[in-house]
Amino acid sequence: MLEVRGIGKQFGGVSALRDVSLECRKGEIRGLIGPNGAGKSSLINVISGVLTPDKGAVALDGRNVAGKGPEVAARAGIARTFQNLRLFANLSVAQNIEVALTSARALRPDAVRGFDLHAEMVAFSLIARSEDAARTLSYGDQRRLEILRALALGPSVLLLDEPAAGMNDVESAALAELIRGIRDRFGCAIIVIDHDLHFIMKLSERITVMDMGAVIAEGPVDAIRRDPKVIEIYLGSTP
Amino acid sequence: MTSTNQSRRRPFLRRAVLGGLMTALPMLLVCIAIIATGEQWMVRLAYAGVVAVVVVVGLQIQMGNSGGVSFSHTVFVAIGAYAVAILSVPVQMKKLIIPNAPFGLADLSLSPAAAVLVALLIVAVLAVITGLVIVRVSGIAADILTLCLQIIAHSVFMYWTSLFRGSQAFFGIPQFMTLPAALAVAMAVIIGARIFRDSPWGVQLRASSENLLAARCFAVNVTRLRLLAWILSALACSIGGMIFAFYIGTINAQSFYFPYVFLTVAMLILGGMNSVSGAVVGVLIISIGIELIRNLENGPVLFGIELPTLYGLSGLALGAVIILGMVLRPAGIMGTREFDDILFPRRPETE
Ligand SMILES: Nc1ncnc2c1ncn2[C@@H]1O[C@H](COP(=O)(O)OP(=O)(O)O)[C@@H](O)[C@H]1O
Ligand SMILES: [Mg+2]
Repeated sequence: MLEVRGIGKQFGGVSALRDVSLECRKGEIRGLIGPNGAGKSSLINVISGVLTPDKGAVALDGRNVAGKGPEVAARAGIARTFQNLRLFANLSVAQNIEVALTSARALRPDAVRGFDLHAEMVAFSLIARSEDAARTLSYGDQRRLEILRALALGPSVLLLDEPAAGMNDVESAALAELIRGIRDRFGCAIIVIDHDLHFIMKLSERITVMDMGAVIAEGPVDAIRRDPKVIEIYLGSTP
Repeated sequence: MTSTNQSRRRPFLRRAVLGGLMTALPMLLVCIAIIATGEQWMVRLAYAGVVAVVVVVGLQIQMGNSGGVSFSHTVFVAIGAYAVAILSVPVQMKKLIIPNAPFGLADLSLSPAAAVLVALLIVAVLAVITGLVIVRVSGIAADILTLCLQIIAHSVFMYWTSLFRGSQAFFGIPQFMTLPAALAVAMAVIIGARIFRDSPWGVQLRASSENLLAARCFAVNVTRLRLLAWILSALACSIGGMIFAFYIGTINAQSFYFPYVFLTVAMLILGGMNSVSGAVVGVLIISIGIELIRNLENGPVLFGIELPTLYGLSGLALGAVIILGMVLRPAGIMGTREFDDILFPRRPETE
Protein backbone atom coordinates (compact mmCIF):
# COMPACT_ATOMS: atom_id res chain seq x y z
CA MET A 1 0.00 0.00 0.00
CA LEU A 2 1.18 3.51 -0.93
CA GLU A 3 0.86 6.27 1.63
CA VAL A 4 1.76 9.84 0.76
CA ARG A 5 1.84 12.10 3.83
CA GLY A 6 2.01 15.89 4.05
CA ILE A 7 4.11 16.54 0.96
CA GLY A 8 5.23 20.13 0.43
CA LYS A 9 7.28 21.43 -2.49
CA GLN A 10 8.18 24.95 -3.54
CA PHE A 11 9.68 26.11 -6.81
CA GLY A 12 11.12 29.52 -6.06
CA GLY A 13 8.06 31.42 -4.94
CA VAL A 14 5.54 28.92 -6.34
CA SER A 15 4.02 26.35 -4.01
CA ALA A 16 3.64 23.40 -6.36
CA LEU A 17 2.51 21.09 -3.53
CA ARG A 18 1.01 22.11 -0.19
CA ASP A 19 0.55 19.45 2.46
CA VAL A 20 -0.60 16.80 -0.01
CA SER A 21 -1.63 13.41 1.35
CA LEU A 22 -3.00 10.43 -0.58
CA GLU A 23 -3.41 6.69 -0.18
CA CYS A 24 -3.66 3.97 -2.75
CA ARG A 25 -4.26 0.30 -2.03
CA LYS A 26 -3.18 -2.71 -4.08
CA GLY A 27 -5.71 -3.36 -6.84
CA GLU A 28 -7.11 0.15 -6.65
CA ILE A 29 -7.29 2.55 -9.57
CA ARG A 30 -7.01 6.03 -8.12
CA GLY A 31 -7.92 9.00 -10.30
CA LEU A 32 -5.97 12.23 -9.84
CA ILE A 33 -7.55 15.23 -11.49
CA GLY A 34 -7.21 18.98 -11.45
CA PRO A 35 -6.63 21.86 -13.84
CA ASN A 36 -3.28 22.56 -15.49
CA GLY A 37 -0.66 23.62 -12.96
CA ALA A 38 -2.54 22.01 -10.07
CA GLY A 39 0.56 20.02 -9.07
CA LYS A 40 -0.43 16.56 -10.34
CA SER A 41 2.80 15.90 -12.21
CA SER A 42 4.85 17.32 -9.35
CA LEU A 43 3.18 14.82 -7.02
CA ILE A 44 4.02 11.94 -9.38
CA ASN A 45 7.59 13.24 -9.55
CA VAL A 46 7.84 13.20 -5.76
CA ILE A 47 6.39 9.69 -5.46
CA SER A 48 8.72 8.33 -8.14
CA GLY A 49 11.79 9.91 -6.53
CA VAL A 50 12.41 12.34 -9.38
CA LEU A 51 11.68 15.34 -7.13
CA THR A 52 12.82 15.69 -3.54
CA PRO A 53 10.00 17.18 -1.46
CA ASP A 54 10.66 19.97 1.04
CA LYS A 55 8.63 18.06 3.59
CA GLY A 56 6.48 14.96 3.92
CA ALA A 57 6.95 11.24 3.35
CA VAL A 58 6.18 8.63 0.70
CA ALA A 59 5.83 5.19 2.23
CA LEU A 60 5.48 1.98 0.25
CA ASP A 61 4.46 -0.90 2.53
CA GLY A 62 5.82 1.13 5.43
CA ARG A 63 9.18 1.97 3.84
CA ASN A 64 9.96 5.64 3.16
CA VAL A 65 11.27 6.31 -0.35
CA ALA A 66 10.81 10.09 -0.54
CA GLY A 67 13.82 12.11 -1.64
CA LYS A 68 16.06 9.09 -2.23
CA GLY A 69 16.21 9.29 -6.00
CA PRO A 70 14.34 7.47 -8.75
CA GLU A 71 16.49 4.32 -8.50
CA VAL A 72 15.36 3.70 -4.92
CA ALA A 73 11.72 4.25 -5.81
CA ALA A 74 12.04 1.91 -8.81
CA ARG A 75 13.68 -0.81 -6.72
CA ALA A 76 10.87 -0.50 -4.20
CA GLY A 77 8.39 -1.18 -7.01
CA ILE A 78 7.23 2.26 -8.13
CA ALA A 79 7.01 2.56 -11.91
CA ARG A 80 5.80 5.52 -13.93
CA THR A 81 5.07 7.01 -17.31
CA PHE A 82 5.83 10.58 -18.32
CA GLN A 83 3.43 13.28 -19.40
CA ASN A 84 6.01 14.41 -21.95
CA LEU A 85 7.01 11.04 -23.36
CA ARG A 86 10.45 9.82 -22.40
CA LEU A 87 10.95 6.71 -24.46
CA PHE A 88 14.39 5.49 -25.52
CA ALA A 89 13.83 6.83 -29.01
CA ASN A 90 16.43 4.88 -30.98
CA LEU A 91 15.90 1.59 -29.19
CA SER A 92 13.31 -0.82 -30.53
CA VAL A 93 9.94 -1.32 -28.86
CA ALA A 94 11.11 -4.65 -27.43
CA GLN A 95 14.37 -3.12 -26.19
CA ASN A 96 12.53 -0.29 -24.46
CA ILE A 97 10.63 -2.90 -22.48
CA GLU A 98 13.76 -4.98 -22.00
CA VAL A 99 15.45 -2.07 -20.18
CA ALA A 100 12.83 -2.31 -17.43
CA LEU A 101 12.73 -6.09 -17.52
CA THR A 102 16.51 -6.39 -17.09
CA SER A 103 16.36 -4.27 -13.94
CA ALA A 104 13.36 -6.15 -12.63
CA ARG A 105 14.97 -9.56 -13.17
CA ALA A 106 17.98 -8.45 -11.14
CA LEU A 107 16.23 -6.45 -8.43
CA ARG A 108 12.68 -7.82 -8.09
CA PRO A 109 12.76 -11.26 -9.73
CA ASP A 110 9.56 -12.51 -8.06
CA ALA A 111 7.60 -9.56 -9.44
CA VAL A 112 8.32 -10.43 -13.09
CA ARG A 113 8.50 -14.20 -12.94
CA GLY A 114 5.22 -14.49 -14.81
CA PHE A 115 5.79 -11.60 -17.18
CA ASP A 116 5.43 -12.77 -20.77
CA LEU A 117 6.96 -10.10 -23.00
CA HIS A 118 5.51 -11.50 -26.19
CA ALA A 119 1.99 -11.87 -24.82
CA GLU A 120 2.08 -8.36 -23.35
CA MET A 121 3.20 -6.83 -26.65
CA VAL A 122 0.21 -8.58 -28.24
CA ALA A 123 -2.11 -7.29 -25.51
CA PHE A 124 -0.82 -3.75 -26.00
CA SER A 125 -1.14 -3.95 -29.81
CA LEU A 126 2.59 -3.36 -30.16
CA ILE A 127 3.68 -6.74 -31.46
CA ALA A 128 3.73 -5.74 -35.13
CA ARG A 129 6.10 -2.89 -34.29
CA SER A 130 8.24 -4.77 -31.75
CA GLU A 131 11.48 -4.45 -33.74
CA ASP A 132 10.96 -0.85 -34.84
CA ALA A 133 12.63 2.13 -33.18
CA ALA A 134 10.34 3.74 -30.61
CA ARG A 135 10.62 7.11 -32.35
CA THR A 136 8.90 5.71 -35.44
CA LEU A 137 5.70 4.82 -33.56
CA SER A 138 2.47 6.79 -33.71
CA TYR A 139 1.69 8.95 -30.71
CA GLY A 140 -0.89 6.52 -29.33
CA ASP A 141 1.50 3.59 -29.71
CA GLN A 142 4.20 5.55 -27.90
CA ARG A 143 1.82 6.23 -25.00
CA ARG A 144 0.98 2.52 -24.73
CA LEU A 145 4.66 1.60 -24.94
CA GLU A 146 5.36 3.90 -22.00
CA ILE A 147 2.76 1.99 -19.98
CA LEU A 148 4.05 -1.44 -20.99
CA ARG A 149 7.64 -0.42 -20.20
CA ALA A 150 6.51 0.64 -16.72
CA LEU A 151 4.61 -2.61 -16.29
CA ALA A 152 7.76 -4.60 -17.13
CA LEU A 153 9.26 -3.41 -13.85
CA GLY A 154 6.72 -5.62 -12.08
CA PRO A 155 5.49 -2.62 -10.12
CA SER A 156 3.41 -2.63 -6.99
CA VAL A 157 2.55 1.00 -7.73
CA LEU A 158 1.99 2.22 -11.29
CA LEU A 159 1.86 5.97 -11.89
CA LEU A 160 0.32 7.08 -15.20
CA ASP A 161 0.72 10.78 -16.01
CA GLU A 162 -1.96 11.72 -18.56
CA PRO A 163 -1.88 8.43 -20.49
CA ALA A 164 -4.88 9.49 -22.58
CA ALA A 165 -3.42 12.83 -23.66
CA GLY A 166 -3.88 13.41 -27.38
CA MET A 167 -6.14 10.40 -27.87
CA ASN A 168 -9.60 10.49 -29.40
CA ASP A 169 -12.67 9.03 -27.63
CA VAL A 170 -12.35 5.59 -29.19
CA GLU A 171 -8.66 5.36 -28.32
CA SER A 172 -9.12 6.56 -24.76
CA ALA A 173 -11.99 4.11 -24.20
CA ALA A 174 -9.72 1.28 -25.34
CA LEU A 175 -6.99 2.62 -23.07
CA ALA A 176 -9.35 2.61 -20.07
CA GLU A 177 -10.09 -1.04 -20.83
CA LEU A 178 -6.36 -1.78 -21.00
CA ILE A 179 -5.67 -0.10 -17.66
CA ARG A 180 -8.51 -2.00 -16.01
CA GLY A 181 -7.01 -5.19 -17.44
CA ILE A 182 -3.64 -4.34 -15.89
CA ARG A 183 -5.26 -3.94 -12.50
CA ASP A 184 -7.11 -7.25 -12.83
CA ARG A 185 -4.09 -9.24 -14.00
CA PHE A 186 -1.25 -7.65 -12.02
CA GLY A 187 -3.12 -6.38 -8.96
CA CYS A 188 -0.92 -3.30 -8.55
CA ALA A 189 -2.03 0.05 -7.18
CA ILE A 190 -2.57 2.44 -10.08
CA ILE A 191 -2.69 6.23 -9.98
CA VAL A 192 -4.01 7.77 -13.19
CA ILE A 193 -3.76 11.47 -13.94
CA ASP A 194 -5.98 13.23 -16.41
CA HIS A 195 -7.58 16.61 -16.58
CA ASP A 196 -10.57 15.08 -18.34
CA LEU A 197 -13.21 14.17 -15.78
CA HIS A 198 -15.06 11.76 -18.09
CA PHE A 199 -12.07 9.53 -18.68
CA ILE A 200 -11.16 9.37 -14.99
CA MET A 201 -14.73 8.72 -13.84
CA LYS A 202 -15.12 5.76 -16.18
CA LEU A 203 -11.87 4.28 -14.93
CA SER A 204 -11.41 4.79 -11.22
CA GLU A 205 -13.23 3.93 -8.01
CA ARG A 206 -11.92 6.83 -5.98
CA ILE A 207 -10.75 10.24 -7.09
CA THR A 208 -8.42 12.84 -5.63
CA VAL A 209 -8.92 16.38 -6.86
CA MET A 210 -6.09 18.91 -6.73
CA ASP A 211 -6.00 22.65 -7.31
CA MET A 212 -3.23 25.17 -6.75
CA GLY A 213 -0.96 22.55 -5.19
CA ALA A 214 -3.46 21.29 -2.62
CA VAL A 215 -5.94 18.41 -2.40
CA ILE A 216 -9.41 20.00 -2.44
CA ALA A 217 -11.55 16.87 -2.56
CA GLU A 218 -11.18 13.12 -2.18
CA GLY A 219 -13.73 10.33 -2.35
CA PRO A 220 -15.74 7.90 -4.44
CA VAL A 221 -16.73 8.94 -7.96
CA ASP A 222 -20.35 9.83 -7.12
CA ALA A 223 -19.40 12.10 -4.23
CA ILE A 224 -16.76 13.86 -6.33
CA ARG A 225 -19.29 14.37 -9.13
CA ARG A 226 -21.58 16.28 -6.73
CA ASP A 227 -18.85 18.17 -4.84
CA PRO A 228 -19.45 21.93 -5.24
CA LYS A 229 -15.71 22.77 -5.23
CA VAL A 230 -15.13 20.31 -8.05
CA ILE A 231 -18.10 21.65 -10.01
CA GLU A 232 -16.73 25.15 -9.57
CA ILE A 233 -13.32 24.20 -11.00
CA TYR A 234 -14.87 22.27 -13.82
CA LEU A 235 -17.59 24.86 -14.51
CA GLY A 236 -18.65 24.51 -18.08
CA SER A 237 -17.75 20.86 -18.35
CA THR A 238 -20.69 18.67 -17.38
CA PRO A 239 -19.56 15.48 -15.73
CA MET B 1 -1.26 -15.35 -18.42
CA THR B 2 0.82 -18.42 -17.74
CA SER B 3 2.57 -19.83 -20.74
CA THR B 4 5.55 -22.04 -21.36
CA ASN B 5 7.86 -19.24 -22.49
CA GLN B 6 7.02 -16.76 -19.75
CA SER B 7 9.75 -14.31 -18.73
CA ARG B 8 11.91 -15.71 -21.51
CA ARG B 9 15.01 -13.65 -22.27
CA ARG B 10 15.35 -12.18 -25.73
CA PRO B 11 18.12 -14.06 -27.50
CA PHE B 12 20.93 -11.74 -28.59
CA LEU B 13 24.14 -13.77 -28.70
CA ARG B 14 23.58 -15.51 -32.03
CA ARG B 15 22.54 -12.30 -33.70
CA ALA B 16 25.49 -10.39 -32.23
CA VAL B 17 28.02 -12.97 -33.43
CA LEU B 18 26.55 -13.42 -36.92
CA GLY B 19 25.97 -9.68 -37.19
CA GLY B 20 29.53 -9.08 -36.00
CA LEU B 21 30.84 -11.27 -38.82
CA MET B 22 28.79 -9.22 -41.25
CA THR B 23 30.10 -6.01 -39.69
CA ALA B 24 33.65 -7.24 -40.25
CA LEU B 25 33.00 -8.32 -43.83
CA PRO B 26 33.85 -5.06 -45.71
CA MET B 27 37.19 -4.83 -43.89
CA LEU B 28 37.85 -8.48 -44.63
CA LEU B 29 37.08 -8.15 -48.34
CA VAL B 30 39.26 -5.06 -48.82
CA CYS B 31 42.17 -6.70 -47.00
CA ILE B 32 41.88 -9.98 -48.90
CA ALA B 33 41.92 -8.04 -52.17
CA ILE B 34 45.05 -6.21 -51.01
CA ILE B 35 46.77 -9.42 -49.91
CA ALA B 36 45.96 -10.88 -53.34
CA THR B 37 47.79 -8.02 -55.08
CA GLY B 38 50.92 -8.99 -53.17
CA GLU B 39 52.01 -5.34 -53.01
CA GLN B 40 53.92 -4.93 -49.72
CA TRP B 41 53.32 -1.18 -49.45
CA MET B 42 49.56 -1.79 -49.73
CA VAL B 43 49.69 -4.52 -47.11
CA ARG B 44 51.41 -2.07 -44.76
CA LEU B 45 48.67 0.51 -45.37
CA ALA B 46 45.98 -2.11 -44.87
CA TYR B 47 47.62 -3.11 -41.59
CA ALA B 48 47.39 0.48 -40.35
CA GLY B 49 43.72 0.39 -41.39
CA VAL B 50 43.06 -2.78 -39.41
CA VAL B 51 44.72 -1.24 -36.35
CA ALA B 52 42.45 1.78 -36.84
CA VAL B 53 39.41 -0.53 -36.99
CA VAL B 54 40.36 -2.02 -33.62
CA VAL B 55 40.92 1.43 -32.11
CA VAL B 56 37.79 3.01 -33.57
CA VAL B 57 35.62 0.02 -32.58
CA GLY B 58 37.16 0.37 -29.12
CA LEU B 59 36.18 4.02 -29.15
CA GLN B 60 32.68 3.05 -30.30
CA ILE B 61 32.21 0.83 -27.25
CA GLN B 62 32.60 3.98 -25.16
CA MET B 63 31.04 6.72 -27.28
CA GLY B 64 28.30 4.65 -28.90
CA ASN B 65 26.91 3.17 -25.70
CA SER B 66 27.62 5.77 -23.00
CA GLY B 67 27.22 8.81 -25.24
CA GLY B 68 29.52 11.82 -25.36
CA VAL B 69 32.94 12.18 -26.96
CA SER B 70 36.16 10.69 -25.68
CA PHE B 71 39.55 12.21 -26.40
CA SER B 72 41.50 9.82 -24.24
CA HIS B 73 41.06 6.50 -26.01
CA THR B 74 44.46 6.77 -27.70
CA VAL B 75 46.00 6.93 -24.24
CA PHE B 76 45.05 3.27 -23.92
CA VAL B 77 46.34 2.56 -27.42
CA ALA B 78 49.67 4.00 -26.31
CA ILE B 79 49.64 2.16 -22.97
CA GLY B 80 48.95 -1.11 -24.78
CA ALA B 81 51.79 -0.49 -27.22
CA TYR B 82 54.30 0.65 -24.60
CA ALA B 83 53.35 -2.07 -22.14
CA VAL B 84 53.99 -4.92 -24.56
CA ALA B 85 57.11 -3.11 -25.81
CA ILE B 86 58.61 -2.67 -22.36
CA LEU B 87 57.70 -6.20 -21.33
CA SER B 88 58.78 -8.07 -24.44
CA VAL B 89 61.93 -6.34 -25.74
CA PRO B 90 64.91 -8.70 -25.21
CA VAL B 91 67.16 -7.88 -22.25
CA GLN B 92 70.29 -7.17 -24.35
CA MET B 93 68.30 -4.64 -26.33
CA LYS B 94 66.94 -3.06 -23.15
CA LYS B 95 70.49 -2.34 -21.97
CA LEU B 96 70.66 -0.12 -25.02
CA ILE B 97 67.25 1.60 -25.01
CA ILE B 98 66.01 1.71 -21.38
CA PRO B 99 69.03 0.80 -19.21
CA ASN B 100 67.68 2.72 -16.20
CA ALA B 101 64.10 1.42 -16.32
CA PRO B 102 62.43 1.28 -12.88
CA PHE B 103 60.96 -1.79 -11.12
CA GLY B 104 63.74 -3.99 -12.51
CA LEU B 105 62.11 -3.87 -15.94
CA ALA B 106 65.51 -3.52 -17.62
CA ASP B 107 66.33 -7.10 -16.62
CA LEU B 108 63.00 -8.62 -17.56
CA SER B 109 61.78 -9.98 -20.85
CA LEU B 110 58.52 -11.85 -21.31
CA SER B 111 57.24 -13.89 -24.20
CA PRO B 112 54.80 -11.87 -26.37
CA ALA B 113 51.84 -13.89 -25.04
CA ALA B 114 52.78 -13.23 -21.42
CA ALA B 115 53.47 -9.59 -22.24
CA VAL B 116 49.99 -9.25 -23.73
CA LEU B 117 48.34 -10.75 -20.65
CA VAL B 118 50.26 -8.51 -18.24
CA ALA B 119 49.60 -5.50 -20.46
CA LEU B 120 45.84 -6.21 -20.48
CA LEU B 121 45.93 -6.41 -16.70
CA ILE B 122 47.76 -3.08 -16.45
CA VAL B 123 45.27 -1.47 -18.83
CA ALA B 124 42.34 -2.86 -16.85
CA VAL B 125 43.70 -1.44 -13.59
CA LEU B 126 44.37 1.97 -15.13
CA ALA B 127 40.93 1.93 -16.77
CA VAL B 128 39.23 1.22 -13.46
CA ILE B 129 41.09 4.08 -11.76
CA THR B 130 40.41 6.64 -14.50
CA GLY B 131 36.91 5.28 -15.09
CA LEU B 132 35.85 5.72 -11.47
CA VAL B 133 36.45 9.44 -11.89
CA ILE B 134 35.02 9.90 -15.36
CA VAL B 135 31.77 7.93 -15.10
CA ARG B 136 30.60 10.13 -12.25
CA VAL B 137 30.55 13.14 -14.52
CA SER B 138 28.02 13.70 -17.31
CA GLY B 139 27.96 15.71 -20.50
CA ILE B 140 30.57 18.22 -21.60
CA ALA B 141 32.45 18.03 -18.28
CA ALA B 142 33.15 14.35 -18.93
CA ASP B 143 34.37 15.13 -22.45
CA ILE B 144 36.77 17.73 -21.07
CA LEU B 145 37.99 15.31 -18.39
CA THR B 146 39.02 12.87 -21.14
CA LEU B 147 40.90 15.73 -22.82
CA CYS B 148 42.79 16.37 -19.57
CA LEU B 149 43.56 12.68 -19.24
CA GLN B 150 45.08 12.69 -22.73
CA ILE B 151 47.32 15.65 -21.89
CA ILE B 152 48.43 14.18 -18.56
CA ALA B 153 49.23 10.81 -20.14
CA HIS B 154 51.20 12.43 -22.93
CA SER B 155 53.28 14.35 -20.39
CA VAL B 156 54.06 11.09 -18.61
CA PHE B 157 55.17 9.47 -21.88
CA MET B 158 57.32 12.49 -22.74
CA TYR B 159 58.97 13.09 -19.37
CA TRP B 160 59.30 9.64 -17.80
CA THR B 161 62.21 9.04 -20.13
CA SER B 162 63.78 6.14 -18.21
CA LEU B 163 60.69 4.08 -19.07
CA PHE B 164 59.20 5.55 -22.25
CA ARG B 165 62.28 7.28 -23.84
CA GLY B 166 60.43 10.61 -24.10
CA SER B 167 60.49 12.00 -27.61
CA GLN B 168 62.83 9.25 -28.80
CA ALA B 169 61.46 6.21 -30.54
CA PHE B 170 61.11 2.95 -28.63
CA PHE B 171 62.48 0.21 -30.88
CA GLY B 172 63.43 -3.42 -30.82
CA ILE B 173 59.90 -4.77 -30.26
CA PRO B 174 59.44 -8.30 -31.64
CA GLN B 175 57.77 -8.05 -35.06
CA PHE B 176 55.76 -11.22 -35.51
CA MET B 177 52.32 -9.92 -36.48
CA THR B 178 50.90 -10.35 -39.98
CA LEU B 179 47.89 -8.85 -41.70
CA PRO B 180 45.81 -12.06 -41.48
CA ALA B 181 46.57 -12.34 -37.76
CA ALA B 182 45.59 -8.71 -37.23
CA LEU B 183 42.35 -9.34 -39.15
CA ALA B 184 41.51 -12.20 -36.80
CA VAL B 185 42.11 -9.93 -33.81
CA ALA B 186 40.00 -7.16 -35.34
CA MET B 187 37.15 -9.58 -36.00
CA ALA B 188 37.24 -10.75 -32.40
CA VAL B 189 37.11 -7.14 -31.19
CA ILE B 190 34.22 -6.34 -33.55
CA ILE B 191 32.22 -9.36 -32.37
CA GLY B 192 33.00 -8.47 -28.76
CA ALA B 193 31.75 -4.92 -29.33
CA ARG B 194 28.57 -6.28 -30.95
CA ILE B 195 27.93 -8.67 -28.07
CA PHE B 196 28.24 -5.83 -25.57
CA ARG B 197 26.06 -3.50 -27.64
CA ASP B 198 23.26 -6.05 -28.03
CA SER B 199 23.45 -7.46 -24.49
CA PRO B 200 20.87 -6.41 -21.88
CA TRP B 201 23.60 -4.27 -20.26
CA GLY B 202 24.48 -2.58 -23.53
CA VAL B 203 20.81 -1.89 -24.17
CA GLN B 204 20.41 -0.37 -20.69
CA LEU B 205 23.49 1.78 -21.16
CA ARG B 206 22.28 3.03 -24.53
CA ALA B 207 18.92 3.77 -22.93
CA SER B 208 20.64 5.91 -20.30
CA SER B 209 22.42 7.93 -22.97
CA GLU B 210 19.12 8.48 -24.78
CA ASN B 211 17.14 9.51 -21.74
CA LEU B 212 18.99 9.56 -18.45
CA LEU B 213 16.00 10.38 -16.25
CA ALA B 214 13.83 7.64 -17.71
CA ALA B 215 16.67 5.13 -17.35
CA ARG B 216 17.11 6.08 -13.70
CA CYS B 217 13.36 5.64 -13.16
CA PHE B 218 13.87 2.04 -14.29
CA ALA B 219 16.71 1.50 -11.82
CA VAL B 220 19.39 1.34 -14.51
CA ASN B 221 22.75 1.43 -12.73
CA VAL B 222 24.21 4.09 -14.97
CA THR B 223 27.57 4.56 -13.23
CA ARG B 224 28.31 0.85 -13.15
CA LEU B 225 27.43 0.33 -16.80
CA ARG B 226 29.42 3.38 -17.88
CA LEU B 227 32.41 2.00 -15.99
CA LEU B 228 32.02 -1.35 -17.70
CA ALA B 229 31.93 0.29 -21.14
CA TRP B 230 34.93 2.44 -20.24
CA ILE B 231 36.99 -0.62 -19.24
CA LEU B 232 35.98 -2.67 -22.30
CA SER B 233 36.75 0.30 -24.53
CA ALA B 234 40.18 0.74 -22.94
CA LEU B 235 40.97 -2.95 -23.37
CA ALA B 236 39.95 -2.92 -27.05
CA CYS B 237 41.97 0.24 -27.75
CA SER B 238 45.00 -1.20 -26.00
CA ILE B 239 44.77 -4.31 -28.18
CA GLY B 240 44.98 -1.95 -31.16
CA GLY B 241 48.21 -0.55 -29.70
CA MET B 242 49.60 -4.03 -29.09
CA ILE B 243 49.07 -5.35 -32.61
CA PHE B 244 50.53 -2.09 -33.92
CA ALA B 245 53.69 -2.44 -31.81
CA PHE B 246 54.18 -6.12 -32.68
CA TYR B 247 54.02 -5.29 -36.40
CA ILE B 248 55.89 -2.03 -36.74
CA GLY B 249 58.55 -2.78 -34.09
CA THR B 250 59.13 0.89 -33.28
CA ILE B 251 56.76 3.22 -31.42
CA ASN B 252 56.73 6.86 -30.50
CA ALA B 253 54.40 8.71 -28.11
CA GLN B 254 53.84 11.47 -30.65
CA SER B 255 52.07 9.07 -33.00
CA PHE B 256 49.31 8.44 -30.41
CA TYR B 257 48.72 12.14 -29.70
CA PHE B 258 46.18 14.63 -31.01
CA PRO B 259 46.43 14.02 -34.75
CA TYR B 260 45.61 10.36 -34.11
CA VAL B 261 42.91 11.27 -31.58
CA PHE B 262 41.15 13.48 -34.10
CA LEU B 263 41.61 11.10 -36.99
CA THR B 264 39.98 8.22 -35.10
CA VAL B 265 37.20 10.35 -33.62
CA ALA B 266 36.49 11.69 -37.10
CA MET B 267 36.35 8.16 -38.50
CA LEU B 268 33.80 7.16 -35.89
CA ILE B 269 31.65 10.26 -36.23
CA LEU B 270 31.63 10.05 -40.03
CA GLY B 271 30.69 6.36 -40.00
CA GLY B 272 28.19 6.78 -37.16
CA MET B 273 29.11 6.34 -33.52
CA ASN B 274 25.93 4.49 -32.63
CA SER B 275 26.81 1.30 -34.45
CA VAL B 276 29.86 -0.93 -34.72
CA SER B 277 29.31 -1.03 -38.48
CA GLY B 278 29.60 2.76 -38.43
CA ALA B 279 33.06 2.45 -36.90
CA VAL B 280 34.15 0.04 -39.65
CA VAL B 281 32.67 2.17 -42.44
CA GLY B 282 34.29 5.33 -41.07
CA VAL B 283 37.73 3.74 -41.00
CA LEU B 284 37.36 2.34 -44.51
CA ILE B 285 36.16 5.58 -46.09
CA ILE B 286 38.69 7.87 -44.44
CA SER B 287 41.63 5.48 -44.85
CA ILE B 288 40.96 4.91 -48.53
CA GLY B 289 40.13 8.59 -49.03
CA ILE B 290 43.39 9.75 -47.46
CA GLU B 291 45.39 7.41 -49.70
CA LEU B 292 43.67 8.67 -52.85
CA ILE B 293 44.24 12.28 -51.85
CA ARG B 294 47.85 11.61 -50.94
CA ASN B 295 48.39 10.59 -54.55
CA LEU B 296 46.94 13.92 -55.67
CA GLU B 297 49.26 15.76 -53.31
CA ASN B 298 52.24 14.40 -55.19
CA GLY B 299 51.11 16.03 -58.43
CA PRO B 300 50.00 13.08 -60.53
CA VAL B 301 49.59 13.13 -64.29
CA LEU B 302 45.92 13.24 -65.21
CA PHE B 303 44.81 13.04 -68.87
CA GLY B 304 48.32 13.96 -69.92
CA ILE B 305 48.41 17.07 -67.74
CA GLU B 306 50.87 17.08 -64.86
CA LEU B 307 48.98 18.47 -61.85
CA PRO B 308 50.87 20.67 -59.40
CA THR B 309 51.87 19.24 -56.03
CA LEU B 310 49.29 20.15 -53.41
CA TYR B 311 50.79 19.72 -49.97
CA GLY B 312 48.28 19.87 -47.15
CA LEU B 313 45.46 18.73 -49.40
CA SER B 314 44.78 15.57 -47.37
CA GLY B 315 44.28 17.58 -44.19
CA LEU B 316 41.96 19.99 -45.95
CA ALA B 317 39.99 17.26 -47.66
CA LEU B 318 39.69 15.27 -44.42
CA GLY B 319 38.29 18.32 -42.68
CA ALA B 320 35.89 19.02 -45.55
CA VAL B 321 34.62 15.43 -45.67
CA ILE B 322 33.97 15.42 -41.95
CA ILE B 323 32.16 18.77 -41.99
CA LEU B 324 30.11 17.70 -45.00
CA GLY B 325 29.30 14.36 -43.42
CA MET B 326 28.19 15.93 -40.17
CA VAL B 327 26.00 18.47 -41.96
CA LEU B 328 24.37 15.97 -44.31
CA ARG B 329 24.17 13.06 -41.86
CA PRO B 330 24.60 14.21 -38.27
CA ALA B 331 24.14 10.65 -37.01
CA GLY B 332 26.87 9.38 -39.34
CA ILE B 333 26.59 7.21 -42.41
CA MET B 334 25.16 4.20 -40.57
CA GLY B 335 23.02 6.09 -38.05
CA THR B 336 21.93 3.61 -35.41
CA ARG B 337 21.90 0.64 -37.78
CA GLU B 338 24.27 -2.26 -38.23
CA PHE B 339 24.84 -3.85 -41.66
CA ASP B 340 22.69 -6.83 -40.69
CA ASP B 341 19.84 -4.51 -39.64
CA ILE B 342 19.73 -3.37 -43.27
CA LEU B 343 20.36 -6.72 -44.99
CA PHE B 344 18.29 -8.89 -42.64
CA PRO B 345 15.88 -6.65 -40.71
CA ARG B 346 14.63 -8.18 -37.50
CA ARG B 347 11.04 -9.34 -37.80
CA PRO B 348 8.47 -9.29 -35.03
CA GLU B 349 7.49 -12.76 -33.83
CA THR B 350 3.83 -12.56 -34.78
CA GLU B 351 3.18 -16.30 -34.76
N1 LIG C 1 10.71 21.94 -12.36
C1 LIG C 1 9.92 22.99 -12.08
N2 LIG C 1 10.45 24.22 -11.86
C2 LIG C 1 9.67 25.27 -11.57
N3 LIG C 1 8.35 25.21 -11.48
C3 LIG C 1 7.74 24.02 -11.69
C4 LIG C 1 8.50 22.86 -12.01
N4 LIG C 1 7.64 21.81 -12.16
C5 LIG C 1 6.41 22.31 -11.95
N5 LIG C 1 6.46 23.63 -11.68
C6 LIG C 1 5.33 24.49 -11.34
O1 LIG C 1 4.59 23.82 -10.37
C7 LIG C 1 3.20 23.96 -10.61
C8 LIG C 1 2.56 22.60 -10.75
O2 LIG C 1 2.95 22.01 -11.99
P1 LIG C 1 2.58 20.54 -12.40
O3 LIG C 1 2.89 19.64 -11.28
O4 LIG C 1 3.25 20.24 -13.69
O5 LIG C 1 1.02 20.64 -12.61
P2 LIG C 1 0.01 19.68 -13.40
O6 LIG C 1 0.69 18.43 -13.73
O7 LIG C 1 -1.13 19.48 -12.44
O8 LIG C 1 -0.44 20.41 -14.61
C9 LIG C 1 3.06 24.84 -11.84
O9 LIG C 1 2.86 26.16 -11.43
C10 LIG C 1 4.38 24.68 -12.52
O10 LIG C 1 4.70 25.82 -13.25
MG1 LIG D 1 1.07 17.53 -15.52
